[in-house]
Amino acid sequence: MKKLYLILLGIVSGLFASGTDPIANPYGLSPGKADLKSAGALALGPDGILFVADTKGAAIFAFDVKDTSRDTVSTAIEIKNIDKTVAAFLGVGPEDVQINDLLVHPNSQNIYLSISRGKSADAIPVIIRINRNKELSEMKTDDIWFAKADIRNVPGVDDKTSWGAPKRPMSITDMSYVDGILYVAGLSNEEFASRLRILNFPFKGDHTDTSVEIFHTSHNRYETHAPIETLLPLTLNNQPHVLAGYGCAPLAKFSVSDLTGKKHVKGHTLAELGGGSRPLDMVLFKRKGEDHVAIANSNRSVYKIKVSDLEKSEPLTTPVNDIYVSSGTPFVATGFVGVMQIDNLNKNFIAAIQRDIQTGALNLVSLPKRWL
Amino acid sequence: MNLCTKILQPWIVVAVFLSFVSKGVGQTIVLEFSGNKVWIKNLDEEVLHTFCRYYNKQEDWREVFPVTTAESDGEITIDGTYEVSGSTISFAPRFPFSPGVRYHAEFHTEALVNNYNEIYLPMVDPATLHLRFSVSPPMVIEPAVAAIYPSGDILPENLLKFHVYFNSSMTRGEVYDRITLKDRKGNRIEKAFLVMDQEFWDDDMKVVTVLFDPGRIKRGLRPNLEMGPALKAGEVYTLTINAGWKNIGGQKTKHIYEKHFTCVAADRESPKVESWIVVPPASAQDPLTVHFNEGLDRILLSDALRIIDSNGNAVKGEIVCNNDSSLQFLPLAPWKKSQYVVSVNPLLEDLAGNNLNRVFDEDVSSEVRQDKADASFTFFFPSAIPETNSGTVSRK
Repeated sequence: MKKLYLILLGIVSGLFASGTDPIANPYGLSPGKADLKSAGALALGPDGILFVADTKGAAIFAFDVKDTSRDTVSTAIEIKNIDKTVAAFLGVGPEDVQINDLLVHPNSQNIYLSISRGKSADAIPVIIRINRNKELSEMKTDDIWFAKADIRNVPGVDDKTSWGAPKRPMSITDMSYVDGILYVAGLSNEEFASRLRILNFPFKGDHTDTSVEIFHTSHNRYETHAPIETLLPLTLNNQPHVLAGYGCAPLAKFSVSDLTGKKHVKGHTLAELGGGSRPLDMVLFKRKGEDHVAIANSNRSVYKIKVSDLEKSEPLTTPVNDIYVSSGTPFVATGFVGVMQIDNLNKNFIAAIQRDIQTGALNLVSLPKRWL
Repeated sequence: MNLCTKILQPWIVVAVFLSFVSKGVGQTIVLEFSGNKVWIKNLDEEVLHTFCRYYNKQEDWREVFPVTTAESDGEITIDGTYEVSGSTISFAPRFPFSPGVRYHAEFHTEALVNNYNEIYLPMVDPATLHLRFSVSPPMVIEPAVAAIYPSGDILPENLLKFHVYFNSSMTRGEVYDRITLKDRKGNRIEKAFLVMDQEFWDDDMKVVTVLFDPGRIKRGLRPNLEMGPALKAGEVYTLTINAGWKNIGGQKTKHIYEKHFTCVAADRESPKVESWIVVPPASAQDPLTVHFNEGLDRILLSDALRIIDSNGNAVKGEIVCNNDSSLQFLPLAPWKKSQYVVSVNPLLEDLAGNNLNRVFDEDVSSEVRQDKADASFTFFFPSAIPETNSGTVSRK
């Protein structure tokens, strides 16, 4: 009887093994509990895979979120007081919710928010999923198909930076996936050295660290120290590029072919968006049939730039002549203020986290592309 | 931290006498909070069983037995899991209930008394049970500023940072509102500090660092040209940490902390290891003492030295700093008769951010710079009579 039981067990486990063999996953994902210590920048990978930056754990996770439903509606979504809504769901006050990033899944139009629950050292990372019916759920990471890539050159837990903090909170500011490569922007050390870490996906081998240099139009010199705040993969003149928004506030392009396998790369500064501000997020969108980039800024309204104007721009090598002055690629300052995070929702709208400057409320809104 | 162990109010009970719900007249249904869960107890098992035949999904229970924050309008229920067992329903939140937050649980008894054509159940009064509860803060310690570094009151005008030490773990989001810098007339120095959303905290959230805006310190950068440096030699300043800063337990600092200091000329030289005064341990249990000729960064000092004995083994021990300008190294095991090599972390910085290899305000070239090798010195144990500069200082 025992032997029969074992044979049956073998047959059953063999049947299931064919469906759950990690090798069978084309992206090297395997099932299990993901040890996510923080949830920061989000990026979309191939086949709807969600990348989550874990600065505290010095790692990047790739999750199969199984978001296979398809929603083709082209209407807006709005949740007033999104911070209070998330707080109510997580059982805390809104002061204990920090929204770190927003991403819209292109299949389902589900909105993913990376959240810190709590502001203390033991803040809990949470990924919230909001569906088109405005229902909140948690994307649990304790039983999920995932892959993890450790980020090298990040200090150990006991290492102190010169200001007593780990470098990790700033070690990943944004990520972008293009054609099998995940570009990860961040600061590498206390000297504010800007790095692009380049990871193959599926994750394999070590990542390369590239020191990136641009002409800083506000500082009037070439710098490797200015941090990249936000990244956007973008095709310019039929060549793949990465558009990089810097603090204080140059906008530069890096050719993907230049970035491969290099230790040090010079980018071309195309625009100065005006000092005293940081670009927070960028998204590519179509308006009247023409490609545009929308840029959310910390101290400006949302800017709109035509991709064709970026393609025509010559690299800037001279500084602006006064504080707050812009130069280079022309842009339009739209009327949308207080916008912090953006992503394409559907053909008509861009989903955004926006602070209402009249009421102070933090809202999830939809910005109509025709008014951008 | 497990909040369950910190709950000082273990349970609050709202009990309602419902004489009709159950077949057993006099049965008391209890809605209570204990053990980090919310409970409905003493339900009639048959009634509950019948109900579960129709409604036993998590979303059904969220309707019948919603648990919300009191602040929310009740439309959003707290993420968690409902379980039915015997005569009991429990709600376990996905994340522990948080101190300082008021919660509200309801149990709609009328849902149970709907007539499913199986059991006759008359309406009850009240139709809904309510429970308001909260958990006590895990820490009752009153948060306070424990120290501010640099500790000296004469500081260079190109000072790069202040470290503020607290006695308990604090919360983010208040650094740039609570910490201000004023001149001798009490006027606030605007845009003195580099504002970064991430804020510069240690792992325990007990030490926060504020950096002066490097753009105003470094000569030739536009902020420096437009606004000038935040600090000027010869001036007197006050760093103020205002009251009301919350720790993780929700308690606020009650006092205002002030540090008065005077600025002197900028320091644009790397720390000179050669001029340090090394006092070897007088006995096998005594510390090695190193006096610097200037103030150095308090946090980096804690990881400044690595000591190797003549066998090539690292000496385990602890660095103790009582001020910014000296440190002591206390070995875990007594010193042995040996020559010791002490290597100094080249990233050790003075108060202006100059490390052993480069000054903070240097002209950055496009070349990737190679860091120099560690500076080091040697000492012997036992030494003859402890004397100044008894260590041999060298730079490799």
